[in-house]
Formats: sequence, structure tokens, C-alpha cells
Amino acid sequence: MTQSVVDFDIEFRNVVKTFGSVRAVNGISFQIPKGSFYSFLGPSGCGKTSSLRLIGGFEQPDGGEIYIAGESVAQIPSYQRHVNMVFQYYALFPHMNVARNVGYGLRQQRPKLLPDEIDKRVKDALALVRLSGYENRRSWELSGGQQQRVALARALINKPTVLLLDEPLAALDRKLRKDMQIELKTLQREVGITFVFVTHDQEEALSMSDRIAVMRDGKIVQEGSPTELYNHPVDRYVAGFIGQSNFIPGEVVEVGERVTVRTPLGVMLSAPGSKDAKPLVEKAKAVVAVRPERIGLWREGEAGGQSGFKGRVSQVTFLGDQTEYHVETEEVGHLLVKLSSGNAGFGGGDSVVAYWNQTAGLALLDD
Amino acid sequence: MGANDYMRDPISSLLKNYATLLYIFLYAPIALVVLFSFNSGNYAADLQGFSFRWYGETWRDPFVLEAFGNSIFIATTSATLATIFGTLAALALQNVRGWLRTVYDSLIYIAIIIPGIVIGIATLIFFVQFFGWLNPILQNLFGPTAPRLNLGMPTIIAAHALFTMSIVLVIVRSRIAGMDRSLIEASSDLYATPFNTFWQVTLPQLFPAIMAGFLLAFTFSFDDFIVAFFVAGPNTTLPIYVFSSIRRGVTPKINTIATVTLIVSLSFLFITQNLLTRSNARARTPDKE
Repeated sequence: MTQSVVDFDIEFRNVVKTFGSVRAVNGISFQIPKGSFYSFLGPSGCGKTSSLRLIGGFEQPDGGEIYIAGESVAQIPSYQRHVNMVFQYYALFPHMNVARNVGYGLRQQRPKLLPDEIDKRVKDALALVRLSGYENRRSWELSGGQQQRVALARALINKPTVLLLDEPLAALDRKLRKDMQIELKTLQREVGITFVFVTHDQEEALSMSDRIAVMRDGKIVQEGSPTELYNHPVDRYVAGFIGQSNFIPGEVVEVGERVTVRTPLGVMLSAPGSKDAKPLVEKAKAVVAVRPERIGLWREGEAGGQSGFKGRVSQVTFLGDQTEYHVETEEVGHLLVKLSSGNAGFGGGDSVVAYWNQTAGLALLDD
Repeated sequence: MGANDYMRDPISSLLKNYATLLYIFLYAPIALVVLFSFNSGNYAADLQGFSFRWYGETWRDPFVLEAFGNSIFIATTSATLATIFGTLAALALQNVRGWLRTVYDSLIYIAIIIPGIVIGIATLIFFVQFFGWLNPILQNLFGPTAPRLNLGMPTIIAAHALFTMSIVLVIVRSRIAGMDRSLIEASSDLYATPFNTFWQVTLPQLFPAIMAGFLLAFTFSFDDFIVAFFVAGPNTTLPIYVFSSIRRGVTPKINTIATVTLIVSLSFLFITQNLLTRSNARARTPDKE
């Protein structure tokens, strides 16, 4: 079944953008479904912000095509695109008060809107971001979180097809960032506008997005829902970027229902392959990735019939609800294990056995 | 080491005294001029008592008033021209990059430090040559009733606009460089055409710098003697009046004129400085991570 192009608010087809000799965006294609919360996730320099700026019209692609609401925007300048952006440092106009900042987009409309109409919509937009009564403040009198909400109101008041957000939470402190994550997600459901969000913070992306595109070196490595990315990363890079993982390197010796990997020490590990990844072949370099929370620990001697890897706890970090154990094993090296704090009482230096179900690991191509 | 050790250090105490002497040396003559402007006596250098007598006398002197009026008119007009052309040049230069930029930058700074006497001679020669070439043509075209172009107020205005333009350019350009580019992108993002973005965002952002450039250009023109002296023709500006009246002996009026000029210049400089620091503080881009 093919979806008609209009079900997507944004579509990229082989888009390329170069700065000098650097290919910031290296031939990417993707589709952003209407009304979704879509995130670009990756380290700095991976091309995520460039992609966003291409949608906004602040950069022109060197190749490929960009569609907004089904129409090519090749020749359309930023001021004629029905998308709005929340800039990383908000870019509020310092010579205007809050109300004039928020009403800026409406005042550009031709034919002109009536002043009463603009006032009313400014009021509504400020109410939406819980800033009623701040109309006459200047931007530099506001806190970071308030400036952020003014920037949101200034963009949303225009009812854009797509709202672009360029790391808008990066400048906020941790507590405020958590609150804004929830607020943004709620706001997005309320207004029903497609949000395109750029971030380097995987936690932010996981908690808010409907879909995430993980980027690296100007390419999309994997695209999917947060759970898909977490449970079925296509390679070591994604598995390491989304959540934490232990990686045990080795070589593929057998590919069947499960993949068998032999480590340099000759230990055989069996794990399923990732369903979205290219199938592994024999002799390929691979890693077995195991999430820290999927490893269990036994005190040595209490392991019973369980087989596992013997080791010693080298470090314990109490995180509140969970506790992190660093375990040095002989057979598979260093392991990070996360246990719920309630049922674990290991101390540094304890001899333990670490184990996991064969289905808990994931055999991935090493890069 | 406490503050006392610092004070006792012979070299730093020597330097401290030196600095005090230097400032006295710099400002004592100026302070004297201000002081003597309130003299009630008949002679400039003979302090009799405190009064505003000479301010009144100066204010009633038609020659002073004419020169003052000329100076104000010349300074306002030349500063306006310099502001318009300097700002336009700064806007045009913002897209010039690479070696060409270096060339333009150097030329601007050279223009600022060229001695007034050189500008004076150069503009004088230019005007004389130009008028010598243009006047016969005008005569031929319109007959003997044709206007004869000559040195006067317009030539002072032109010469002043010429050398103050680079000052405006430097001030406005540094403001453009310090401006947050994302404001322009935000305006474009919010459906403003490039023209509207210029009027609604760029110009208001540059306004303090443009204003500061105007005031500084005004001050430079108002104070200038050398350039004006060369191209003034029959007209008199305040500095030229002061210079020529000194040749007939220093009267207390000179002190009052100097004091008024000082106050005008200092207050303009003060406003300029204020405009620039306040607006720059607000326009500063937040620190990147």
C-alpha cells in the first residue's frame, strides 16, 4: 500500500547540502506524517540542524527536493513558507515588548488584519503558553523559560503547517527542561500541528517523539518510533546513542534463528539479530549488545543452575530508584549492570555471576 | 600582600603620582578656560570676580551668533549626509568578505587618520579645479546670469561629510557585526519580506549606532577648524571666528565660547557612549555552549 503524498507534512527526497567541502546533509530522504512529533537526534555536526534550516528555508539545498504539505518548495523563500521556527536562543526582538513579538507574524499579513483581531489572537496565544498578563514586558525582563514560551507563542499564533524547534530546551536548566518536555508534548497534542524537533539529548527525544530519525555524518542511520529504536537498533551506533548498552565484540560464526558470536577469548554468545538491520553474515565483525537493566547478578555460589560470567563488582553508583554496578568479568570484560535498588545489595569487591537471557541481547554489526 | 604593601612599593607610588600630574597637566588649561569664562573683569587673563557677564555679551554679539548659526547648520547638514552615506556603505559592506574586505577596512581606517590639513588641502584643490572647470560650462549654457559656484557653506558641508562619513561607517559596521543574525531569520520566518525585515528589525537594531554616528559626526564637524579654514571661502564658522578674533587679542568672550563648545561636545560624546553600550548589551547573542 502506498500512502498519498499529502498525508505527509514534510518530505525530503535525496536532499544534499554542502558547506564548503563538508557535506552537512548527505542525500537524505524521509517523510514526516501529519500531526506527529518528529525528532532529529544526533551529536553536533550530524546535519540535524541543517535539515531543519532547509525546511525553514534559511538554507537552500544543493541537490534533491523538499516538499511541504505535498508541494515542492524549491523556489519559495522562508517568508513565504507556512512553517515557523523556535530558535535555539529564541531570537525575540529586543526592541519590541512581548505582545508585539507575538503579533509580529500576524502584522505581516496582507491584506492587513484588524488591530482588534491581532490583539485578541495575541491574548489567546499568550494564554496558550500560560503567559497572560505579560503583554507589556520586554524580552530581557523574562526568565529563560518565559522567553521560550514567548517564542512558542510567536510561532504558534500563525497556525503553521509545521513547527520547527531547534534545540529549544538546551539553554534551560535541568528541572525546567523536564517541565518543558511535558508541556511541549501536551501543547503539540492540543494544537495538532506537526512538530519537528532537533536535539542531541536522547532522553528528550525518547520522551516526546512519535518518531525519531537518528542522524550521523549527514545521513539518517535509523528512523522509527522510540520503542523500535530502543528495542531494535540497526547497529552499534544507534544502540549506543539511544539508551545505554554493553557491547561485547566478536565474530559471527553461525547465523540461524539466532546469531552466534565468538569473542576473541573464544566465548560463544548467542543472541537474536535486530529485525530492522541488514542480516549478519558469517565471519562478519559483530557486537552483542545487552542493555544494563537486562543483566542480572547472582552472588557467587548462589547461582544454582544458572550459567553466567564470573566477575567482581568494581564500583557501585546509587542513583535512587536504581543502582549501577560496574562488574569486571574475565570472559566478557567490563559490564554495566542496572538493578532496581530494592532487591540488590552488592558492595564493591563482591564476587558475582552476571547472566542474561539469550533473547535479551542483540547481535549487531560492528562499525 | 595587602593593600599597604602595594602603596609602599616605591615604583607604583611613583607611577601613581606621575598619573596624577599627567591628568593635572591635561586638564588644568581646560579648567582655567572654564573658570575664566565666569570672570567679571574686562580682560581674559585678569580674574576679578564671578559673573555671567561675558556669556551675556557673547550672546548679544552678532558676529558670534552668525558664526555659531553657521556651525550648527554645517554640523547638522554634514552629519546628516555622513550618516546616510556611512550607514548605506556599512550595509553594503556586510556582504563583502575575504581580501576585498581587508582592503575596504584598511581604506576606512586610513581615511579616519588622514591629517585634517591633508583633507583641507586636497578638498580645496579639488573644489577650485572642479569649479574652474564647471563655471565656464555653466556660463556657456546659461549666459552671464548663470550662477557661479564658489567656496562657501556648501563646500564646508561637503568636506565635513566626507571625513565624518568614515566615522559613521565604522560605528554602524561594528554594530552590524555584533547583531544577532537569528533576529533577521526570525523576521523572515514570520513572513516579513526582506524590505519589511529591514524596516522592522534591522534598522531599529542599528538605530542606536546610527544615532551615535550622527552625534559623533556632528561633534567632529562642529569642532573642526582646519578643514573648514581651507574651504570656507567668505563664510565663518565658530572655530574660524575664534581663531581670527584671537589675532586681535584674547577677550573673555573666547573663554565663554570655548566653554559652550566644550559642554556641547562632551554631552554629545556622553550620549553617544551611552547609546552604544546600552544597545550592545541588549543585542548581545547569548553565549553558545
